Amino acid sequence: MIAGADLRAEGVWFSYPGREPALRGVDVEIGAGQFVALVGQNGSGKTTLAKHFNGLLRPGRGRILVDGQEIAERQTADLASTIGYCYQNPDHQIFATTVAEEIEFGPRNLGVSAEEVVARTGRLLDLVNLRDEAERYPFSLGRGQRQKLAVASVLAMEPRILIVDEPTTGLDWQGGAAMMRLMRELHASGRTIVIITHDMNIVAEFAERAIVMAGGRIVVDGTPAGVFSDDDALREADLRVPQAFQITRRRPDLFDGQPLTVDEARRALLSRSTVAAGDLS
Amino acid sequence: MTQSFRLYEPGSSFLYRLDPRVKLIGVFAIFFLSILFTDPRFLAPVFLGVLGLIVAGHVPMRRVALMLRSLAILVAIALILWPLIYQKGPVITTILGFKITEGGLFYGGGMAFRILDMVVAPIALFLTTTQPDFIAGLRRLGLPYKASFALATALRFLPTIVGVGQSIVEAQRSRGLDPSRGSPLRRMKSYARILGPLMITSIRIAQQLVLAVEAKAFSINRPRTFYRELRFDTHDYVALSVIGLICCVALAVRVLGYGVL
Repeated sequence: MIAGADLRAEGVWFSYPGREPALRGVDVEIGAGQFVALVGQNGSGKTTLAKHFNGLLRPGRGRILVDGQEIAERQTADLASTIGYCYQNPDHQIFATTVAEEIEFGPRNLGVSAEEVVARTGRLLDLVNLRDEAERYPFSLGRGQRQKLAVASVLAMEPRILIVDEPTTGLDWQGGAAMMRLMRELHASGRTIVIITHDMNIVAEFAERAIVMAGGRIVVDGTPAGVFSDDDALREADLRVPQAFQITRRRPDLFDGQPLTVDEARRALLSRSTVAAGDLS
Repeated sequence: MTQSFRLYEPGSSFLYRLDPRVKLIGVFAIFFLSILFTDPRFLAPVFLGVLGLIVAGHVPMRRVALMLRSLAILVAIALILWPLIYQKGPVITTILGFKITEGGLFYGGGMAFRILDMVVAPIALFLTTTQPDFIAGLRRLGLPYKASFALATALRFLPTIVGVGQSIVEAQRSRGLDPSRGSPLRRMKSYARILGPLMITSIRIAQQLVLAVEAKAFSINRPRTFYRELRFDTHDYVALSVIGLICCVALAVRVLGYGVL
């Protein structure tokens, strides 16, 4: 088990040079071991906020704390062993000549012993199903595999917090599902997971908590069910809730406990004696 | 997130109103003058002339000064190295066994002004000419279509590539790589890890671009017309005449044996 760590932003303001503020006073605390989705439209500030947590960006005003410690004095490279950050485009970080070497790069930078590096690489190759590709040239892998390799190469530093920007973008359904299963496993092993996404179905299915951003502010923060029910905030963020939830919310008489996904809705229906199981299978 | 590389600063002085072709010819004329002479007594007036135009043309001085500051090292190197290497005329003094001659000092000064002339003139051009005007000017001066397209595309994609480069540096920093730390050799290795993905991404962008322009009939072989019409005004003819006159006088002076050391 890897224990998670908590993140905190206090009154964070940030502007890119010569632009309107991208963050306007963000206060948020992400507890150790949570599975959080940062949600919002392009330009809402979610990536900007996430980049503050590992010091890639520094707040213009306010402060960032990791495990209660302010990070103003710490370099991104030093924070890498605590917070793993996965870029939206895997091609921005892949450079090695083999898949295995790509995974080894991070822990080597951190000065991890050679045997330990080999052991971690082996475990990660298995975790992301790239064992057979270990000696391949990373850029010759498919997009989904490159994405998983990018995550594996960040995980190799054994961060307690993993931030993944758009884990499923550019992947087909299977690739996206495999990616999210991986996120779920990593969360189950104790890590704090923060994903940045605008796919509300992923939020419904995987996240314990959704933080919705619009115009550089947090407009609503809570469980996915709670967030999906906040019509005003969702309108402000220009987000639409999953179709399954739209239906289940309209018919609380049919669906107990407001299921969020098609799967949950199906199970809720099946559990009711009034509907015959055969009708829905 | 991507930075802007636009040098152009909007304005309305005569420098802005001149046809881009005239401005380009003016810049070439300054190159010509800078190469024609080696004597600082001839190259300094060229620099002062360019500065005069910049001031009179309301080119934002702040930007020009910023560029001039970054040139300081080059100018200093010219001023120091040439007198050490170039020896002609009476010896003035000896420093650490190097004879410093009058000719050497003059030559160093001349080269320093040559650098200033040849850099400041294009800067003034870019500050007062929009990119499309600049490209259209080159095109109308006879640069082949494909070459001007390539140039325009390069300028257009510069910020994109820089943005990708920044993302790559950030991604590698997130994995514990700090390119600004360690021995020079280590730093060079760090940069290799940034160049790899940058090259691959750039090649991918280029490949996609080739297909995209080809799909829009880029290589069609027919004379092209211009969307952006350039027209010479009276002031353009006046400016051209002045440039021509200065160049002719300068050439005559040079042929008569003045202006060189």
